[in-house]
Amino acid sequence: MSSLRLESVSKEYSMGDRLVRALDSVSLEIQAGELVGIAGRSGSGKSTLLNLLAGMDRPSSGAIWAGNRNLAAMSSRELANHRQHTVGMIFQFFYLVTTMTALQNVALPMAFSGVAASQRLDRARSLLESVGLRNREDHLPAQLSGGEQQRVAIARALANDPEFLLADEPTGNLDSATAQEILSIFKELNAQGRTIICVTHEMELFSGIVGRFIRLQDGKVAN
Amino acid sequence: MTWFDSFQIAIHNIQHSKLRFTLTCLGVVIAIATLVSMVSFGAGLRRETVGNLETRELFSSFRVVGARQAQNLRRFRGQPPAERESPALDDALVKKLSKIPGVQSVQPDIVLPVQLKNGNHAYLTRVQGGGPHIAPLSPFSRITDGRFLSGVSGREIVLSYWVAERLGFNPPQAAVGSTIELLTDRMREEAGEDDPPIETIRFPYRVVGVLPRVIVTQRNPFYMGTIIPLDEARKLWDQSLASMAALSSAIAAEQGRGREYPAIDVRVDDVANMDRVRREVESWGNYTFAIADEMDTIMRAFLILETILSVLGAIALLVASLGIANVLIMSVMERTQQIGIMKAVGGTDQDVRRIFLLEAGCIGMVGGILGLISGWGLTRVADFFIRRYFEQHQFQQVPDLFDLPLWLILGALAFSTAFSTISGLVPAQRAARIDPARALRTG
Repeated sequence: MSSLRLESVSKEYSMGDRLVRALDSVSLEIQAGELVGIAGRSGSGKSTLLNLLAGMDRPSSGAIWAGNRNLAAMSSRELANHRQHTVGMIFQFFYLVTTMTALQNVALPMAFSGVAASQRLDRARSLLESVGLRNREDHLPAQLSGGEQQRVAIARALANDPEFLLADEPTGNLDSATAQEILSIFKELNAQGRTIICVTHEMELFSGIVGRFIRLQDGKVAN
Repeated sequence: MTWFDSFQIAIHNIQHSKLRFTLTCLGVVIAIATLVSMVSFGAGLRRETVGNLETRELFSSFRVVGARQAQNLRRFRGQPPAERESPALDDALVKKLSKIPGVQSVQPDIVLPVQLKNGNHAYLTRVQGGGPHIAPLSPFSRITDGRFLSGVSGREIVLSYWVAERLGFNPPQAAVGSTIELLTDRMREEAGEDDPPIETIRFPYRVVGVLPRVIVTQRNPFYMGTIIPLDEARKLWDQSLASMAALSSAIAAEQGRGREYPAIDVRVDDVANMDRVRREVESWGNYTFAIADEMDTIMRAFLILETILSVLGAIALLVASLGIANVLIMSVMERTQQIGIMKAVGGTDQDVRRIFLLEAGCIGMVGGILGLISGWGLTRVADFFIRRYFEQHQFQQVPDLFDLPLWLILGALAFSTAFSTISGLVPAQRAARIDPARALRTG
């Protein structure tokens, strides 16, 4: 098990003529097995931070270490490999492929990592069972409730058995009862040893399960 | 990601945009159908023409032509007029030609218009004079029903398949062993005051053989193979009014010369001997003509025709390819979020590029297959109408003007798939370059 470590990471975007600094010399470390919340106001850089950890974006400067590998120095193929095997992403709006069934959505990351068809379907079924959706495997996302879609997304994030789960506002689009269900899944996964990083602005809701919060303000770590 | 998985995702995407992909595919179908039917026409025309020439063994034969025809040919070819008068095409020349080493047969050109009659069935045609010396030559070498002429005299006739059919023999091979009548007109020798000056004479001929069905594209009975013994043809030549040869004989006789033929066909035993034999004949002052001389021109004309037809088809495919590119670019724009999701869960740029290229390739492949089938159907429809037209105009045999060789089938499929895949390159590259974070944020 390895850790995720940021060293003086900055990220700038150009918006027209203007340069926006989303992250400003952020340094932090998340140890293996932690369940960490990243909190902050809208525009504080939470999602940018999560995208950098996921290898979906590159920092403008600084280094991001996943174990002994620096994401900032990786090629796009290596970053794709990082997304396949090291991290699993969960989004506020679920982002399931709308034309694929729940089973196909969960199996998709395994197809990208080259798992044989029969193996990946078996594993996808077992993951759907673990989130209580075995009987919904042939349903399209539009035929599932928000909570069910998020559970499918969690199963998909776990498909390649990654070390880290990165969740961007995972309960932001759910009612409170469903949100509690998702949190209990996270708690269980963390208890099994999975490292989970959740971006949220619902600190109260998450305070019961996270070990600590990292607060971001104007692109910097506030605490 | 394996190619098979990419292919499955590509098919999945196509299935979820059926109407759009069907319409795009239809463009390819029309383009390939056009291409196939046009190239098929060019190839068929070439096969028909070259096949005909080969069937008649014209590459190993040449024609010694008379002075007037030689003059015309010289003018046509831009050659200077002959310095001396060419020797007459008479029986002496026939003998001389036969003695040249490498000459297989010499056939004076005696073709007579006659009427053949079998009971109530009558057919106006022309017969050729020949003898056993041309039996090994095509199409006479292919007789499977009956036999060829036994000599240069005697009332024997070999019928072509088509003539036998028109004389009411069903099947045509049933004519073998029958006796038919050969009718021609001549000037009445002793005419009374009330007698017309022309009388019809008729001779019984025994059918000894029927030629198999051969490809004939023009109404040329010489090549259709209906043939009688040479001496019988010579006798008829002297009598028949309808024969231009009789006229030339009369002129020659008036000038104190013997019988002259309008042309003499010479066949050599090996194509390699053609040039030598022709040079020798031309050294005597005779003018020769061989279809092989025109072969380069013929083949060049076919090449130009096929190129023009292919280019027209390719333009249609180019238009269809622009349609594919347009549809795929729209698809990339619409599926930006899906592409972002695929990348977020581990898809590489190459995976995404490959999926789009396979989608383009599938459109091309399916369009190509359906286009081939449609193109083939088009050629059949065109063939039906052409046949009807030929039959209405009483052509002896209808040519098969469309050819769908294996190279055209495979070529059209490869062309269609390659063209479509190439047209998918730009959209696929755009899809591969999509930034996943931005795609999810804005998608």
